Amino acid sequence: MLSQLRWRIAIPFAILVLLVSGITAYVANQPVCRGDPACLRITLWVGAGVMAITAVTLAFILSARITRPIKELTGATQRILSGDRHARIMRYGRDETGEFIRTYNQLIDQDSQIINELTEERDQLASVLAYMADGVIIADAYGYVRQVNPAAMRLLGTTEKKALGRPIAETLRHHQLIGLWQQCQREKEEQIAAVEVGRDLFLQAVVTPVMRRGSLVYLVILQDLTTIRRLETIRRDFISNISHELRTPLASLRAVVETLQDGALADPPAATRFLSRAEHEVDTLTQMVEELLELSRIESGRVPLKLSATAVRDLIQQPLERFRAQARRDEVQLVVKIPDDLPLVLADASRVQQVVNNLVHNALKFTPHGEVTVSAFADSDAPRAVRDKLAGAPPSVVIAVADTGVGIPAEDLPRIFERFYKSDRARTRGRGGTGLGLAIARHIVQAHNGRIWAESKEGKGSTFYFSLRTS
Amino acid sequence: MTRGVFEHQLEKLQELLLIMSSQVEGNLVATAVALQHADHTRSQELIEADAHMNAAYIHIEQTCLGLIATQQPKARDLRLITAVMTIGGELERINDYAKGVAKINLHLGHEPRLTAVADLCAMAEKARLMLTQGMNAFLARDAAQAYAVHAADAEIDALYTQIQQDLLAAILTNVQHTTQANKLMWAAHNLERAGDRIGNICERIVFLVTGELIELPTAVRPP
Repeated sequence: MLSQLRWRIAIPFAILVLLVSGITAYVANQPVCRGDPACLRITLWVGAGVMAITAVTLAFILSARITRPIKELTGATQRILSGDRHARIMRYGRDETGEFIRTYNQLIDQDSQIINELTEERDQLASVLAYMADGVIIADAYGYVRQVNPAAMRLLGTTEKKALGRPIAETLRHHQLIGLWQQCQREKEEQIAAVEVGRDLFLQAVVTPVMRRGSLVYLVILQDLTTIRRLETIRRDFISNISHELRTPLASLRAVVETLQDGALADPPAATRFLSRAEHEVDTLTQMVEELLELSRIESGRVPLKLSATAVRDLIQQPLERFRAQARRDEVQLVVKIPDDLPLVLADASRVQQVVNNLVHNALKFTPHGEVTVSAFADSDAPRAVRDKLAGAPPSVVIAVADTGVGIPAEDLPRIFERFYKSDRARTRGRGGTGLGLAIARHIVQAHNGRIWAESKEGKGSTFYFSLRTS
Repeated sequence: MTRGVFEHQLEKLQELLLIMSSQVEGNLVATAVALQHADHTRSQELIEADAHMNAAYIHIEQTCLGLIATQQPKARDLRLITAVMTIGGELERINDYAKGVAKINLHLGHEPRLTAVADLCAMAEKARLMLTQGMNAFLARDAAQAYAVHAADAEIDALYTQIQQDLLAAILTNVQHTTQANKLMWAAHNLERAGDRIGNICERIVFLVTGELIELPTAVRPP
């Protein structure tokens, strides 16, 4: 009973009243005062005065005791508000304020636990969003951006500062993306579309309306399909190229056969000429089919390489001999620069000779007159640009085939190692070739764990490099 | 609180303009590509879509007038509203030029296009880029960027001259090309005008940022 506040206030006052009125009654009963109304009045006044003063003092003391825990509570709450979530009141009695403080402490404990759980959940979501490859934008019902992840910022070229809290149109910018978003806003249904945002950015965009606890948010997901699209282009080009490459000799064969049928057979000299033409076309077709088979064998890894330590000179000399006559005829200088102290390389000689063969063949083909240089050097002696290309590779020897020919346009350079890719069809036609040489070269070099690349300036010539590991 | 509402309205207004400009950007490129591939369906769509752009402009204009009447904006806010109104008008005109190119495509029928049409596409792509960057400058309130975009109009003019020469050469080599070359000349002229309009938009952005209404000379250097 005594722990209750009202008794702790009431009892002191009751004692006070009893004590003072007792003393007053006692004094009034003394012989000095008895029968003297003046003394009696004074005694009563003094008693009342003492009671009043003591009551005020008591009230001050008691109220201070009551307000102290409240002040502590205010202080603790302020500390919590200013970020110290561990602020608690450790001192409390068993009265009502004590009870209140205990409950208050429990409330704060529970809250901070919930906050911890929510924070953890939010952090998890944030890291998922941050490391996702797809772009994600979350917009509220009015179309203001609430969240945007790094992938979305990268794809759309924006920053958090520019996007957050601004209308989503300012972030999307592209008319098809905005159109998709508007359509979703109108129809309240998921919208999907493939959008070409720039020449080198192809996105699949999904805009979904999500009802979340009574309020609508929009989720925009952007998937980068650029690579897939590029692969598709390569595949499509390959099909159209191979059809074209097969059709040309076939059409020519057909013309020859028809001419022979129409009477050229009766004219032996003409017939011989036509037959040799037919033979040439058949050779071209055969060579192409063989190279295709070869390519698919190398690509699928069915051709085991017979690697052995080989001198670089042996890899270059033999293919070059075959081109000497052709170079003399075309008035092209064939220069070889191989230092004597080159380390041996790990190579399948016949395969690498094929690479050199293809590269030199190309160089001669695109150099009407001038110079074709085949050189070799250790990676440590290589110029800086070459060393950069070899960053991270084991010690290697680089073989370079440089020409002073027509060169390759910059926009074609990344694609020349694709099957059938020919930089300028009008220009390369009539120079023969199946369009597979560089693709084969690349696969052979890669099977050797080497690297192959090209540099070129239009009109100045091209240089093809490939590297082979030293043994 | 009323300030907050007004600011929200200004943001929405800016968004309307941005949506309109993104549409015009798309239409500029689409109309040139349709011309290159003799894609009549696409051109027809673009011609019909012009009505939407006109409606979009009217909507923007009405919103601007409503804001001026009800909020009595001052200084920067007033400049923003008038700038949006003017830029909206320029965008509407640019889209008319895109529509003009689409009409030329329909006139040309299915005859194979002269090679100069590739440069026309490049011109449209340049114009689109200028417009995108111009709107970036608008969003960022960046006068220097607006100057830079304005200066890029010279590239469009250069392409225009190039196309004119190529088309003349095409006529000289084969008189039968005259009709097509003449029409392509018109298409190029349309795009060249579109570039000038984008220049006007840039002037308006400079006004919005600095409060100075100036006519930028071509190939101006940023201060």
